[in-house]
Amino acid sequence: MPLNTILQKLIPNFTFITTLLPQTDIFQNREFSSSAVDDRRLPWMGLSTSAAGNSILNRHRIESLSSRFPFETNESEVSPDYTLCLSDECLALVFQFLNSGNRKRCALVCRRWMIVEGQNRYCLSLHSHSDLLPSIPFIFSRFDSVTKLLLKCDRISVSIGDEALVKISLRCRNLIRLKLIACHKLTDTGMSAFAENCKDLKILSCGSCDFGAKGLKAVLDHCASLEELSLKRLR
Amino acid sequence: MSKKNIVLKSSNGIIFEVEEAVALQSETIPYMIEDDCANDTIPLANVTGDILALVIEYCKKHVVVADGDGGGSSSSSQEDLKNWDAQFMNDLDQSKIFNLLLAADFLNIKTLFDLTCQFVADTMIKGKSVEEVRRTLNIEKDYTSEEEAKARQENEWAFK
Repeated sequence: MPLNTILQKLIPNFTFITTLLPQTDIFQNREFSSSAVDDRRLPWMGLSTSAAGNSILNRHRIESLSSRFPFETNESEVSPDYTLCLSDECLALVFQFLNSGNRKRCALVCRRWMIVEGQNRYCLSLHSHSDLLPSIPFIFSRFDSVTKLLLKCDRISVSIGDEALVKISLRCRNLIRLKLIACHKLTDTGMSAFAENCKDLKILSCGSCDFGAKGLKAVLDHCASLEELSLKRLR
Repeated sequence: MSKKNIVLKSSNGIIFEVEEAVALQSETIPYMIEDDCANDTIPLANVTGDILALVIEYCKKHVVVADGDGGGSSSSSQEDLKNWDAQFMNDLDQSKIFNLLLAADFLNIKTLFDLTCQFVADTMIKGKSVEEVRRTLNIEKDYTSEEEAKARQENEWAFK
């Protein structure tokens, strides 16, 4: 446990704590050292990632106490990047007000945004053509908190198969909701393996898929929390 | 009328005296009072005077409406409040907006925090291209071209 957390618990007087903590004035560094352009992000990034193991509350409070305030700028300087003063949680809450299209663009803005956006994305909809398979590891390590997933193919394309679904299920163990549309290549084998891996599934909707009763039975057997099952145009 | 007042002190030593109901919109302040942080004055070491003034302006406006809410003329006052919020945010520059967001987070004023987050999302990100977002917020592009291409490719898989 870091010293500042302990101090914070012992002494609830915020003023006192702030004076004890080292003041990391990132923006001052940035303004005065012209060669530090590439390094300027590091202290912030380090702060937010190294604290990742702490509880959110602690992390939140420590950050706000140690280095985020007061956030002052020198008017003669180039406008600073104020988003650097936001904790990852705050940034994620800003993203929460954006739709999926805008969020996708956010991920391309810079590395930190990509990480924060990905880790705080709970709903994901993917085009489920067969060639999704090689991208599954990348996609699901970027979006590692997904609990609602839509896999949608179309009638004319070859859909993902069992291997892809199994890979996805291994990376999304906390999946609560799955919707499969026109994933023709999925079979009972894939559905059974999926059900074994994603036992917390609550809602399953399938439309225009070709697997049969065995696959569904596996879901009913393994997913004890299942509350809603919707089936359309199954073979 | 002897309403209890609370004295708040900004990081740069500016004193604000406000009615208790105004201050208690912050969920952090009650803890500071309980912890007996200060007998008369609550020091807010993380909030400067100009930002604290804005926070108080917001809280005063919202406490008045919350009072009137019991009366029942809620829909029109809600509408007024929304307009007031929009105007309030529109008058601020980027530095103030972000400092206000941080102050709302620190003081744990949920509605102000949501308002500032939403404002940042709506006015600085929504509907803008990647390049425009970077320009608006002065964010340095730290991707290599390969990384950006890979991220774009991943994005292609996700629809909606």
